[in-house]
Amino acid sequence: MNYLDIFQYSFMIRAFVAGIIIAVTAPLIGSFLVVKRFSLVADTLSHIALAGVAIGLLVGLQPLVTTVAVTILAALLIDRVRVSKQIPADVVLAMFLPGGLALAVILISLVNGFNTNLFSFLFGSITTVQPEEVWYIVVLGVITVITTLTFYRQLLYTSFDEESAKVGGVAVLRINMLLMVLTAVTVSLSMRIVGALLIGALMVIPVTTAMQLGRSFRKTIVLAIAFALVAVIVGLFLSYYFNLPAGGVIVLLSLTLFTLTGVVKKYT
Amino acid sequence: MSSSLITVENVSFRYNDEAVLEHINLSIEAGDFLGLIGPNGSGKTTLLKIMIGLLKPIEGRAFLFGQPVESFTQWHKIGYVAQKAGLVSVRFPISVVELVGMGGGGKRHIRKALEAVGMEEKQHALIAELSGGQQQRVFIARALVSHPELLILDEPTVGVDVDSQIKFYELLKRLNEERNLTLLLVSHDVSVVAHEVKTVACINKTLICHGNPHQVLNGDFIQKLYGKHLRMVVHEH
Repeated sequence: MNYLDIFQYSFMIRAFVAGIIIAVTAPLIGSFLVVKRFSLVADTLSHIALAGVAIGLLVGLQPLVTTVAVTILAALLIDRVRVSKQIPADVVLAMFLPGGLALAVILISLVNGFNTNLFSFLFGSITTVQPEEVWYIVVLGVITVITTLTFYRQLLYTSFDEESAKVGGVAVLRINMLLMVLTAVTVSLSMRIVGALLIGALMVIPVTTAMQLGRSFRKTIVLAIAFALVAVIVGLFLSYYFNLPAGGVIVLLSLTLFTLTGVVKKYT
Repeated sequence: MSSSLITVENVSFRYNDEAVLEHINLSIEAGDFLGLIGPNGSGKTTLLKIMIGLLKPIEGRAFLFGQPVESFTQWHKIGYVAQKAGLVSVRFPISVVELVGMGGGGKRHIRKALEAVGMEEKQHALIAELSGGQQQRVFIARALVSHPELLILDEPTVGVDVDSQIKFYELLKRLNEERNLTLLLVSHDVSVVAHEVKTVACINKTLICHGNPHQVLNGDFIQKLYGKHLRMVVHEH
């Protein structure tokens, strides 16, 4: 079997392009969420993203666009509720996650009932990335990376020590909002390949794997991206050849890398 | 008021209807080394947070460098070392040089700040690998990167061993004298602070005393500050 046969299929090339973008942006944003101890926001936004997809299908708009819009709005609302109502972050998320899922379930049943399409949104699929979607994913992915690098110091300071950042002159309210928007965009981009239920894993597991080896925040991010790239690229190959849901394969590979890294570190 | 770096006028604060601070009037002048002391729950950290705009008083106003704190923007003039106790993010792999760099400034400023606190050899170490005293010095370096005129420290010696505490106060004295850096330090450790600072302000909801520690810290004050008649034992070191 010629393993490069896979690249003669344009849907696979689209899947790899989208997968690489996701493998870079998810752990990049995930690193800040992990330091901030706010990584569950990714799971919350991914459930809300399902509602965004359903809205797109209902009104006949490009689902990726409506997903990005809905998750950004939800992300800003979550931040607003957390700050103005002084409710702890985990409690806010515990309200928004089922709320988002409940809305999604109702909207999806209005669209066309529960069918295999839903399965691919929940767990990811290599065949669902449409030609026009690749451009959105690439452009939004590049904007996400450039924005993160531009505001890197402020994002790190705010995530690590918000109070000190504020007295250090960082506009923490705006930086928190920015991080929420970047998270929302990353979650929306990742849904096609990894699926709504598993995006959070791709934002967290490569980061925790890298933390076992990292000698600085910067190196941890680079390692996390490397681990995510391995998981996504190998995962897409396995998904194609064994006809398995991409999200499941990628996440299990991420967990395998985490375990292997732990073992290697223990015995060296 | 023009030479005062920090001024609070008639400041009061409440948590859930319970009075934490009542009608505090205090100012800190350039070049001072002031210790803000009081028992746990006395409101000293609350007062500190009001001074730097992290909390809003229910009454009264706070001023930084003569400007109302709500509209203050020259944060590079202030270095702040927060209470470290609850900061779990120190367990994340972040290097010393990265932590100091959060305060802005290029490689040269970061190196100079680390030299000022004696931590330049550990610049590539992880924060999590440092002792409590070493971590504290790195946090001070971060606060020094912008060349501030005022350095504020909230309970800086919690979790720091005695030897490191001695070195820490020597460092602060040096910064105060050599760089004319104004210092405001919040601590519950009365006996140590009494020895090390130029001015002391005692808080327990109200301002109980304010002035030279050797004149102000007598038996009466202890009773007012702690609400009991306690004997103060001072250790010379």
